[in-house]
Amino acid sequence: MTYESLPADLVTGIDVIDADHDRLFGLVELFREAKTDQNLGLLKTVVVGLVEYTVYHFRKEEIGFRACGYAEADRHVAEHRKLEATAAQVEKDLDSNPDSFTPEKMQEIDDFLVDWLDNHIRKSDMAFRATFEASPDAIAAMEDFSFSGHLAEGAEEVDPMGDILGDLEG
Amino acid sequence: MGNAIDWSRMSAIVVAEDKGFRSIVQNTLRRIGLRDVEAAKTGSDAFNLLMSNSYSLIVVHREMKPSGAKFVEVLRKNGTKIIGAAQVPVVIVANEGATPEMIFEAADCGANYLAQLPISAQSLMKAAQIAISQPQAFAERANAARARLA
Repeated sequence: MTYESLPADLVTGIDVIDADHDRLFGLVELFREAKTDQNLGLLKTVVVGLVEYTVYHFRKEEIGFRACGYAEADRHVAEHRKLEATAAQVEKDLDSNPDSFTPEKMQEIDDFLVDWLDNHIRKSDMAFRATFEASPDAIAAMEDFSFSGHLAEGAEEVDPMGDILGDLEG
Repeated sequence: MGNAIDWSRMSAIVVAEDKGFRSIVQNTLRRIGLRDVEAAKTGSDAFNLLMSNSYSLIVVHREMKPSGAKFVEVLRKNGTKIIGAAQVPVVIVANEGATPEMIFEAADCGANYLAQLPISAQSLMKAAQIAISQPQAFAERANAARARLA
């Protein structure tokens, strides 16, 4: 299968994983476009989207690990948590100090994301390929975990309109 | 919130002059799982799409010319000439720093929700879900907030 944004040499052959990787590379492309946009809200939207989709994708892989008892799960999950912390910090910094996001810093983030994805997929994700291929249950469990279903968890607390009304509603 | 809507059966149009807005919101809606997400650069481009297909949702950028609110006003008034178009749920998305007055403006023009940038997929999904499944809820809440201000 070919993908819009995922480089061919990073295709694992596990469709449910590759489709997510394609979306993540697509988001990096959007980051590249948004970083030159004058609309800071759009750049923040892409960064929030990257963090959100990365967390979702990691949860999906971890569901697969549990379903097939993947032996390297602990080490792999530790890599996930480390990137999640870094990405959350970038999101926080962009919100609190957007002026610090110079073109050089944006380029650093861009390079970091591409390098991280490339290394992580090439080394860590390719290592679980055979285990997932031998476990239809793990694939099915990951396929059942939709992004909208993931977002629905905790969405009760989300109030986009309340963010604008502030304390007007008392 | 539960996830009662089957997003894979939903389609949408993103209306915005700003190319970045169109790309980013289209991408977000596709990630949420909508089946078909078209983009329109102007209100008339959106009307052309509505004439050839029916859509479950419209997401429009407030900051365009004419404004997103004006587009919704025309849609609600003239959309009756296109089957179903006048009733399509609409979410207006404003730039950062939206004010309560923008909420009142959105309610008055007939939109079913107003959100602002930056917008997460979770927030956009929630806004779309309310616009689709409780189309009157936004106006009721906006009017109640306005009454408190008066």
